[in-house]
Amino acid sequence: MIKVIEFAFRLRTIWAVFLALFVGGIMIAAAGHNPFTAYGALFHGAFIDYYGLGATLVKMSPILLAGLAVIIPLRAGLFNIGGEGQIYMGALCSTGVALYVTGLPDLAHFALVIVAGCIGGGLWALIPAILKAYRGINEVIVTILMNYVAINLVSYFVSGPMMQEGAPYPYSPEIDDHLFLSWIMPGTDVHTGIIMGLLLSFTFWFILKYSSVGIGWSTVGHNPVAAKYAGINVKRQILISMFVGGAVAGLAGTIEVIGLKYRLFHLFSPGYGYDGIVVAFLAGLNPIFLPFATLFLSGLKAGANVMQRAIGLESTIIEAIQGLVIIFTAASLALKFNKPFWERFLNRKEAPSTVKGDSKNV
Amino acid sequence: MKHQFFKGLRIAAGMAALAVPQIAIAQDDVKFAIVMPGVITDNSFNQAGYEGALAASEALGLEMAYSEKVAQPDQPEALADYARRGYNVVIGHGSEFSDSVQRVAKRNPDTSFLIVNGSEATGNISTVGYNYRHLAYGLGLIAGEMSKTGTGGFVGAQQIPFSTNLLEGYTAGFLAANPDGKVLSAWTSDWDDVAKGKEATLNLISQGADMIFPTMDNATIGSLQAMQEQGVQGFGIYYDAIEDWPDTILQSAIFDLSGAMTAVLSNIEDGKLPSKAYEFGFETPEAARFGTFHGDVSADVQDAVNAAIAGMVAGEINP
Repeated sequence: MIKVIEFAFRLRTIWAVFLALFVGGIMIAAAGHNPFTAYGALFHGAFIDYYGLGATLVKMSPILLAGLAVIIPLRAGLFNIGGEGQIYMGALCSTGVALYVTGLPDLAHFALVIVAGCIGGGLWALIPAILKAYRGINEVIVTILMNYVAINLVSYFVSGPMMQEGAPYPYSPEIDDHLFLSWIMPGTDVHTGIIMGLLLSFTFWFILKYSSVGIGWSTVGHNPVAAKYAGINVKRQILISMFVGGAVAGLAGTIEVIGLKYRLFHLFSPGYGYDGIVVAFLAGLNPIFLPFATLFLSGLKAGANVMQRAIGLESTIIEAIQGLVIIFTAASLALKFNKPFWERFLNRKEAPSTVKGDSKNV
Repeated sequence: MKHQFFKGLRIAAGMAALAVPQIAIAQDDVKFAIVMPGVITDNSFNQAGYEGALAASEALGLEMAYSEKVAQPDQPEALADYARRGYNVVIGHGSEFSDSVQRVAKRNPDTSFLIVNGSEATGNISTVGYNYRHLAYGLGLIAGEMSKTGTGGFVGAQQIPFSTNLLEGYTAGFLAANPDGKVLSAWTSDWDDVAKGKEATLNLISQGADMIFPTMDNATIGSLQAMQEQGVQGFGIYYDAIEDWPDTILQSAIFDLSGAMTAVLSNIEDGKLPSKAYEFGFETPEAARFGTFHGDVSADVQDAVNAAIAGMVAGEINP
């Protein structure tokens, strides 16, 4: 029995999501719509309709990678809130290489664009890592603030030096079509970035679980002092884990450019970096569950847009529902499983006739 | 293989859905949709777009749908979804839709697309815009005549053609009235953030600007608050803003999207909008005009402005 309760408790994020959708349903009803029709439109539009599923998978690609960018540094005890900025820097560096490095063979150019994106995101994440490792400065604050720097840097470049001439809106020229990722669902925008994300999720699940690197990170994350005594170079592990996390986020930015947009846009990411935090926790910080959590959140986002178009629901309600899901999920994670309490609870129920005097021993 | 199955299913479902209404309503079954970047209650660009689309749908008897607050990455999906749902005309509200519309239009050749403030009308894409320079020139003239400090102020969000045309027209008008004056500009890089609009405007006022022309969306409200607090006057955009800001607004450049969209969408033939760059200015007052003059603007200045407008319509003045 205790095992069943513990298992149900492990699924607390899922209950939280249902609770959030229930509260959202009340709001939809208050706005004068039928919640069942609305959620029907949402789930049909997100997962069943061919093009809707396409829209979900398009959103899933960057969020999946952004989720990995949170999980990896967190293994070493670092809270990377900077995924958004790393996405922007990755996209900026890869677009730069895509536009201004010429004369390479197509395949080499493609590889260089990917590498540039990873390095861009990785170096951006390395700055807070260095500040953390050598000066003990809180990485949460530094990564958050560096997001704004990166977003505005991209805005500067695409409305200034990199702006397409005569563009009606700040964006760069189009990259060459040999760099485009190929489409995998005809008629939709789903590109091979989603496959990269799935492969990387699996790879990092393996690395974190079985390799010495992953175990080293876990040790640092759990107890840096013990890790130091065990002969692990804590500072170096902090730098490496942040760099790898940032590089994965940089890749997310890169695939947005070469897979979907083919240009660098001002404000091209609507907070995928922050969505990455949500899915990372929704997946219980396990890369193998990450694709499922990401599929769910992306579906919620894509389906919410369908819900707006299908039944004319105000965008404010849709944003509120997405916010509710995040709040409820975060709150559910704060709950800890209280094993002694449940054991006591179960024992009490099973043995109601026990005399009072025994309760001391329980 | 799977997608072909889905495709077949969709085609079958689509034909079943199409068969009935075609017999029943025939020609009148024209639908259009508008996709907007901001909320429809911003008292500015998005609200003007929504109300314009609503007015056009009522005037022409067309079915209308809208999506508000569609972020840049969601644009292609929103546009393509309306095209697939059988909307004849899909409107991208704002020049930031240019690239998405071009991509979606290629894949949906039977749907007509319309970009508000777009720059290129080709294939199945049309654009609708205004002669921003002309209207801003008129406001600049008033500012140049009325300014005590000889310094005008312009607040924009981003340096895109819409904003730079307004700035150039406003500056040309200001200098035509006051050749020794100057116009300062500030850019908020945000269309909706009220605090940024206010801050940028306070900055211009502290540099001596006393005639401000804010041109953002929701952020314009912040500018007007700053102007009201500092006792500085200026100009409204999109609607006759003197209704809401009776002390602050001297005149407004009204971009009446109701008139413009009705005029554009009345061109729909057989469910298609002929590709064209539709432009409106003072010569089409149902779509672009001035509002009410503030009592502080003297009759002489009003006459000079009206003469300049007549000159622009006649093609004698080309700011």
